[in-house]
Amino acid sequence: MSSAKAALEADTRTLAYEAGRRHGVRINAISAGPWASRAASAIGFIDMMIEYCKTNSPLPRELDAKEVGATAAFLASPLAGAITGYGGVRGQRLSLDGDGGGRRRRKQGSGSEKHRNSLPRRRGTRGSTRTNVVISVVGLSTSGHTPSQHHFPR
Amino acid sequence: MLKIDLTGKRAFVAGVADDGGFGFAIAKAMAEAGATICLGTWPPAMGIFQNLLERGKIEESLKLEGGGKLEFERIYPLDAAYDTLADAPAEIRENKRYKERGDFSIQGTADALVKDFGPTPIDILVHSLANGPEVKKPLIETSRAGLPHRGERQRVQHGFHGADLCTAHEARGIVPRR
Repeated sequence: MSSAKAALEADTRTLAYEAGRRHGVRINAISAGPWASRAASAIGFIDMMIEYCKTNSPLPRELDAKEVGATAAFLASPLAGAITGYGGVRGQRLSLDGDGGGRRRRKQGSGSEKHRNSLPRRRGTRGSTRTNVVISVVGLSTSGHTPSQHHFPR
Repeated sequence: MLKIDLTGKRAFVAGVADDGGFGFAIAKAMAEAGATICLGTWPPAMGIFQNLLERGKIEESLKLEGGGKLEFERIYPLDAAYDTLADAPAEIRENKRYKERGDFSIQGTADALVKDFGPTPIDILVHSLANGPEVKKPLIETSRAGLPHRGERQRVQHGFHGADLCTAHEARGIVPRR
């Protein structure tokens, strides 16, 4: 269901905007790549996806769950206080598109500007001592150049 | 030295039922950074997970870098397919793996967090749930019910304070091992 992951990436950007304006909450997603968790085994071809990514991704090696953990800890920490709407960590996954931040900036001044500004802005967000972060983890394939089961006929 | 410091923060990690997934690795890394960890676990997998913990079967995985052991402050039953308990069909509510778990819905979990920790119980919410009901199918064969992002966006409210948004797009629980 790579389309679900694509929707998640879009949602990450939208939620980052909405939750940021309303609550000062940061929203980020980690799009790590395929991982043979118990849940992932349900799709039936996870091993092939892992092998595919190992061969074809920007960093063609095994993903380590620790790296995902470290990324999450960083994103949740004050060090990442200015990072929101970020769609992924792309060591393993294969999508070649840009990240949420870049796209958002390019969109400024477009037709969506008016809507964006119409959302109420939360006061006192800066310097908030609470972290308030939502991280969504995408394990399997995402949009773009990712394998789906069409690549892996059973 | 620049340090990731989550001291004093409480993270709620949804989607941990063993030591093998991303959720577990994230919980562990956040604990190593000083955060307190609560989990949301799919009710059918909860007994197995608690067993693993109690019988010391994942002791090795629980070891934190720099000493100490990963401890979970609370483990909540959570089936993110249901906004409220009333949304769960009778056969789920009566199922033996759900029945004794109390309110396992998103709202139920949020309420439990508020009850346990006050009106702003968590600082960090991690959604690491997996799998929709028709996850094996290509999109072209997926029914409306299996479209995770259309009708089934779920929201976590109240209990998660500011962090009140949780896309449970693919969150239909953990499927048993092959």
